[in-house]
Formats: sequence, C-alpha cells, structure tokens
Amino acid sequence: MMSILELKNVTKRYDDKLVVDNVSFSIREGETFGLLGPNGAGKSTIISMICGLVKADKGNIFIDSHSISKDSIAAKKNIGIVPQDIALYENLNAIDNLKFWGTLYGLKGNLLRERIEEALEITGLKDRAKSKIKSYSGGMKRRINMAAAFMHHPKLLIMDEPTVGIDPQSRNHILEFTKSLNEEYGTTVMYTSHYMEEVEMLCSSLVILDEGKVIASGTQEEIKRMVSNEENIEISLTNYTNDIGLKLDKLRAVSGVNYKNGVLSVVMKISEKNGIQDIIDILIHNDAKIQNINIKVPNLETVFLNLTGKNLRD
Amino acid sequence: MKTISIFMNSLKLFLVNIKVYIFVFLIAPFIFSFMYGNMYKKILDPDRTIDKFQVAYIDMDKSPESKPLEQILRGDKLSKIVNLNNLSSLDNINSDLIKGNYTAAIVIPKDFSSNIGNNKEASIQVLQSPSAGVKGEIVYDIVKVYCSYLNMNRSVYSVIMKNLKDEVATEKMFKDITPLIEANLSKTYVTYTSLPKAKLLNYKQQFAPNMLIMFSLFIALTQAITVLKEREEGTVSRIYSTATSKLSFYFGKLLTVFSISLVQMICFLAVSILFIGVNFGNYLNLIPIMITHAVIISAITALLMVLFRNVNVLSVVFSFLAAIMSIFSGSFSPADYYPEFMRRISHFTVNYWINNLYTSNMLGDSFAYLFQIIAVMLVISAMVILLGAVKIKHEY
Repeated sequence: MMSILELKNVTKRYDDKLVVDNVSFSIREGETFGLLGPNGAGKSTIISMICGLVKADKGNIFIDSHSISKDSIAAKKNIGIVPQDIALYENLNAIDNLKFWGTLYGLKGNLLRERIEEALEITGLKDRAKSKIKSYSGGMKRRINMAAAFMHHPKLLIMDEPTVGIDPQSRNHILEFTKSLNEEYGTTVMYTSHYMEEVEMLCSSLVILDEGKVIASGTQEEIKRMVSNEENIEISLTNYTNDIGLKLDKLRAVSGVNYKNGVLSVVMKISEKNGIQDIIDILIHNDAKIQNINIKVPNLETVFLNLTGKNLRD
Repeated sequence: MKTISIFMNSLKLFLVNIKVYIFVFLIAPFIFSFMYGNMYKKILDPDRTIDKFQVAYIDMDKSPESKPLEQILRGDKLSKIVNLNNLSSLDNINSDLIKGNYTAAIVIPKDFSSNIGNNKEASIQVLQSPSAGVKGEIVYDIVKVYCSYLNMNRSVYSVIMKNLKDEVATEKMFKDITPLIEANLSKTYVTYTSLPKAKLLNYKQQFAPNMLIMFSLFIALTQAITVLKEREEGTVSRIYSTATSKLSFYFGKLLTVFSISLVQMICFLAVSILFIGVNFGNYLNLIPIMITHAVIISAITALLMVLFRNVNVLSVVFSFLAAIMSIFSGSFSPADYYPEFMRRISHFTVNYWINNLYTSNMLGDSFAYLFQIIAVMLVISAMVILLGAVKIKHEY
C-alpha cells in the first residue's frame, strides 16, 4: 500500500534548541496512525511542518507524493487538520463556519451544501446549526472543529489532541467518529494524544517521540514487544497445591510461578502459542477451581516508561 | 475565489457588531464634526454685518442747516443700519442711553443755524450709550463729516464776503457757487473695488473631513486587531494549513477593509450633506478621493498586520499615533490657527494629505491639482501593500 505521508530525515531547530531531530516515518493509506510523546517531544512542530506552517531546516515531507516545501498547495489539498485548540469563528454559526472552511478546501455549489449537511449530521448538531459557536459546549465545539477539517474528505486527517479538556461523552463521540471516518470513508488518520488508551483503541501503528527523536515505531504489538516478550497471567483460584506449581514450572512457556493470597501469578512467554491452554489444563486436572483469569499485557504507558524512564504525561 | 471567501467571511464577522460600528464609524464622527464646527463657528465664520441700531434725533433748530443731516441718516445705505427716531425734547434721553434704548443721540441746538449765520461757534452734540462701541463711532463720524461740510460752506461764504464786502452780492455769489461745490463734493476720488472673498472653509466644512479621516483610521485599527486575534485563536494557522495561499488571506482581509472604509465614507458624506448641509465640492471628484482614502486605510491596515503581533501593543501604539496625527492635522481645532511648527509637522501625517484632498475639492481646486496628490498617495499605498504581501508570503 502506498504512503500517504512520508517524512524523511526532518530536522527543526528553534535558535539553539533542536526540537525535531532527524525524524523519519511514513503513514500508509487507510491506516490510523498514532503520534505519541510527552509535552515538548516535537509532536506539534512535526504537525506544523506537515501542514506547511513551519519550515523544516532539513529533510523532506511528502503528502501523497507532493513535497510540502515545493508544491505546498497540491500537498495541502490532501489534508485536513483538526487543531488542538478550537480554531473556529465563534461569533458565526455552524453553517457559516462550515461554509467558510469548506470553500477554503475547494468545495462549492451543491457539493458544499451536501457536505455541510453531512457534517451537521455526523456531528449530531443539525438542530444547533444556526446557533453561534460561542453558545456551544466544549464537546460540541470540538465536533464542529473536526467536521470542518473533514468536509472535503481529505486523504489524510491530522488530529492534534482532539479530546483535550472535554467531557467523557463527547470524548467517546469523537473517538467513535474518528473510527467511523477510517472504517467508512477509508480516511487515513494521524492521531496525537496524551491519552494512551485512545491511541491503543484507535491506532494500528504508531511512532513514539521523545525530545525530538523517534524512540519507537511500528504496530502496537511490535512496539510492546520491544520492551517485553512476556505476559503476566493472574489467576484467582482455590485448591492450589505445590504440585501445581511444580508442574507449571516445567512448562516451556512459563518462566515464573508465584502463589499468594489466592492469586496465582504466572509469567508466560508470548512466543509460545499454546502456553495459556497448557496452564489451564494443568489447573483443571489438579482440581483447582478457577474463579478469574487476568492476562496483563504491557500497555503503551509501560512501554514509554521502559523506553524513556519517564511517564508520557511528564 | 479563496480571496472572495475570506472577504465574505470577514464581512460577516464585521456585521456581527454592526450596531457598534455604525455608532463608532458613522454617528460619532458626525456628532464630533458638528460639535467642533459649532464650537469654532465664530472664528471660522465671523458675522461681518452690523445689527441695526437706534439713534435718537433731536432737531431743535429745524433749519436748512440741520435738515440735510436727517436726510443723510435716512438715506438708502445708512437706513440699513440706523433706525432714526425723531424726538422733540431731551427728556429722559440720558437714561434711555444708559439703558441702551438708544445707541446714540444727535442733538441739534435751537441756535444752531443762527450761530452759523452770525459766524458764531455752532455745534451738534452726539451722545453715546455706554455700550455703543463702534456703532457710536459711526454716528459720531457721520455728524463730524456733516459738520465739516457746513464749515467748508461757511469758509467759502466768509472768503466771498471778505472780497466783495457786500452782503447781497455775497449771498448771490454764494448761491451760484454752492451747486458747484456740491457737485464737486459728490465726485468721488476714492476708487472702491470689492475683491472676491478668499477661499476659506466654513465651520461645517472644517471638521467633517477631519473627523471622517480620524475615525477611518480606527477602521484600520479594528481590522488589524481582528487579524491579530485570529492569529491568536489559531484560525489563521488553520487557513494557512488549507490549500489557500497566504496572499489570498492577505488580500481578502485588505479587500474587507477597503470595502468597509468606502461604505463608511459614502454614508458619512451622505449624512453630512443631508443633515447639516456640508458642501464637499465636486461630487465627481469625490469618487477618486474616496477610493484613494480607502486604499490608504487598507495600506495602513496592511502595515499594522505585518508589524504587530500583540493586540494590546497595537491598540496602545496606534491609538496614540492616530490621536497625535489627528491633533496636528486639525481634527479638534482649525489648523490654520496653529503655530508654524505645528503646521509643518502636520505635513508628516497621513491625515493632512487625505484632508488636503477633501478640502481642495471643497474649495473648488481643479482635478489636475487633486490628481497629483492622488497619484502620489496611491503609489505610496501600493508600495506599502506590496511590502506587506512580501512579508506575509515569506513568514512562517
């Protein structure tokens, strides 16, 4: 599948500070891509460079094969940006805002009218279409903010922390909306967020940035395996005997067993495909009664912690 | 197309606060120009006519020597300013003069003609009211000239008498010579030429363009602030992230300023002409003048857009500059009465040059003269706008 976005050795410096250091990655058409990193990692600068708002000191950025520095108008036609802050005209109503942004994205006539209708429909704000944006709640503003970027059905939708500071209901709405854009319209989405669970839920592949550098990239699985190829299984059970422990220890898939307060913790190698089945078989054959099984897979938060020694929200 | 979209959107944003802007950009300059015009009305349009005043005329002699003075005072020219009241006695005349019922009183004593005949001292008394002022002087001078005439006749009579030493012959010769003297007296040796009035603005014209210009500067300020706020709120970055060139945004904004300025000027001129009768001169010339004015305001907006990054700094600095330029160019008092150095400084203000266009048209200057100023101002404005475009295009 061809790349819709490609960054090649992109570097940006503000005075003496290197904010983006030789970053390269690409996003394939149709995928939902996550860009992760703590504050100051260089995410916003990279997005600004992709949108042509900031010029890279070195390297190239291509959007649908168009260079943003040499052919910016053609490159920008393929993107829609959902800025971190609400960038709408709050004194105008939703229709006027959508009409304006739609026109700037090249829509006109019937198509523009249809897309305005569609935007109001998918944001669920049809009944508030003629109200001024300033009268909207934070979540409603976020939805219109997103719809304005999607009106022209861009090949690449860039979402810069779109759920910051909104209520859980609106957050869910935005996440569902993002999912549906990717699934129904085939839109490639580049998503940045502080919220790890959002990225885990939405993104098939991602890049983790820290201090301007790419510290990890690939699919979620690939990145998680960079820090650990083991899973921790916690089994709540009764009738535990030391014999069970000995049998489990002998399994190839198991690298550690510990029983404490009714919970059996088993460290299992991910590479062993039948590992979990073998463990359960031993427990059943030894009359242990399983009450609960909890498989602890390393999440992106722990991955980030492992890679950088700090939390993502530092 | 994108430029038009940005223009339409900016216009919509402007119309959100249209009531405020109507007051600020139309009603306020109208009120100020009317108010300042009336404040300086007496200086700019002094009343050069003399009010008709009352003169008491008490002729107790009623002789051929006294009668002509009354006829002079009742003549065509003097009767426009003198209302002559014949009184029979001097009763209450002093109190009437003190009260201001009469500006002056002319008293011809009973023995006036006989004293002249007997070659004795004869005098006409002129009494002036304490508040008579220059009007009393006028009455005094008329009587004085009349007395000179009588004295001259008396001198002529005496010279004839001295030579002929015969009263009958003297009377005869005097009667023969009097018409000749009078004929000579009516010959005028003073050439009176009424020069055309100097070209001056009246009190209505003085402040109307000045106020229009001052308030139009605030259109530039408000529109530049709008752009800075858009920058702060992120809409400008968002516009730049679309397939819209920076120049489309820039010229879309300037087109908005140009249109708003032009509408403000047309409305202000219409209101001023209709409601207070300001004469703005040749209407056809006003078209290029207003277009030039609107282009200048657009150029100022362009300058503010590219020079400033902070709304507060822009507001303070430009409001101060606009106020200073307006003071020096005569927005608050007639610049013709300023000291020389202030008038020279005013030449460095944009207000002065725009005002110059309006006032020259009011005073009836030719379009050829106006065109010189218009051409220079348009070239300078175009250069400023182009420099702004270059700056905007290359800014990241």
